[in-house]
Amino acid sequence: MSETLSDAQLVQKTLENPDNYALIIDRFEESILRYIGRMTGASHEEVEELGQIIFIKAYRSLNGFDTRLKLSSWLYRIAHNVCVDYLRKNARRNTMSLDAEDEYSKALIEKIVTEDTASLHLSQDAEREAVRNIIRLLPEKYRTVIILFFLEEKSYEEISDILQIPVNTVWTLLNRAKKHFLVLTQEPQFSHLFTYA
Amino acid sequence: MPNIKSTKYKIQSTKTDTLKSSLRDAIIADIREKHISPRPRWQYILLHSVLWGSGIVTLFLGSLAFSFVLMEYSLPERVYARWVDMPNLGFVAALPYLWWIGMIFALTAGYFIFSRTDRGYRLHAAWIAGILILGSIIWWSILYITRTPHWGESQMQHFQPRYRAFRQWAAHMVPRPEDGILALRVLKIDNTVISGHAPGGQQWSVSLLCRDDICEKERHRLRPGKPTLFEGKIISQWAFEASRILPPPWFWPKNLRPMPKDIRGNTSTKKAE
Repeated sequence: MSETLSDAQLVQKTLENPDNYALIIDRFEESILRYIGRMTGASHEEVEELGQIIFIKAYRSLNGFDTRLKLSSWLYRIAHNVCVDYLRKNARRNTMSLDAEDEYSKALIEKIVTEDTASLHLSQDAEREAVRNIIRLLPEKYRTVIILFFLEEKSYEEISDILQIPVNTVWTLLNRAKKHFLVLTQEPQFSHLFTYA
Repeated sequence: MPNIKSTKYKIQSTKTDTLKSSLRDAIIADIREKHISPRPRWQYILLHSVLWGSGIVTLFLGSLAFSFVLMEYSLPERVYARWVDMPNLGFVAALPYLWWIGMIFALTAGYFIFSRTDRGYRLHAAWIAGILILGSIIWWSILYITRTPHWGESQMQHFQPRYRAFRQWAAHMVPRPEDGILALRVLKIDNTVISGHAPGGQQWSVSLLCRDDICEKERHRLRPGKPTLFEGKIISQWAFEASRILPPPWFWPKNLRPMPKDIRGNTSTKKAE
């Protein structure tokens, strides 16, 4: 049923009856938890706890939801802020979990590389560890846009809404993040894992 | 190339459904047990109004501050007065600079506020800054043209004895002709003979004998009503021979002395008391 309702309708229904918040949670829980995991590298329990915090925060702020935004962008924005707080408090910016993302590692590399004309090949065994380490080494702002654009598949406008920065800045950050990523692939500890054609 | 869209990552894929339902139930239970409710809508409306209101107010104050800066720099006293070393009046000396600080603070606050208003974050910082500066220019032009700062200044003189005292003091701080500098508000220009009023009200006649091109250029720029500093020497009572026109002392006029008491008597010092 929730699939047929618009974001504004979902919010309205929740405001009428808190039980309807389950519709919102069901629709966005998976993606939000996934994003938390990617951003923080926290354990599953912590991810769940953070997810709970985010959804409670979102519930408390429901009346402040701007209907011109996508509900997902708005929830991602809250999630992002909570994740940043979490990273600051726990100083865990260097932990990055991609354990369950094997299928994304190569896709991510190829997407980044394809857009940058270079050709880069990665052996199957090395890809998981290498991508994990490289993303872990990226500064937080670059890591965030890489995750949002390549892994969460958000558009520039959506990322702009989530991070509350201009669209042009998203574009700039993404380009810098890709360059940064490619530079890191040439670092001594990674270069032997990549083949440039 | 593998297609990202075709392969959806699922957290804890083996127990996704369990987790989903447990998390959802936990959140709903939490909301019920702790009686958590959404913040009322009026709070957001109030917050929004305060944000916009404070943005507009800071813009207005910033513009007002800048129009005060303009006024402070354009007052005749600016030419004559040295705004330093004033016993107990230091705060007034810093006034135009405080206005500058006020304007910069207001612009910064305005930027901060507007970049967070609605979807202001989508605008580039340069755009917001540009809009703010343009808005400020329009505002301060209106304020300056309508003489709002002049009115404000007169009100300050009326209600603030210390400020009034400062103004009186400023009017009395003049370069002394005995020291080789004569301050005049030009009345009439007759080729090389210029007549004008000194701050004390005396009418002086100045023979300008230029020795270089710069002086000639400055002479052509003289206009009635313009406060001007002449460098030269006294040749007789109320007559001065000048060899140079000094540039307007925009920042710290040099060689200023308090106006002699006998001359000062001509001006209204009663107000200051």
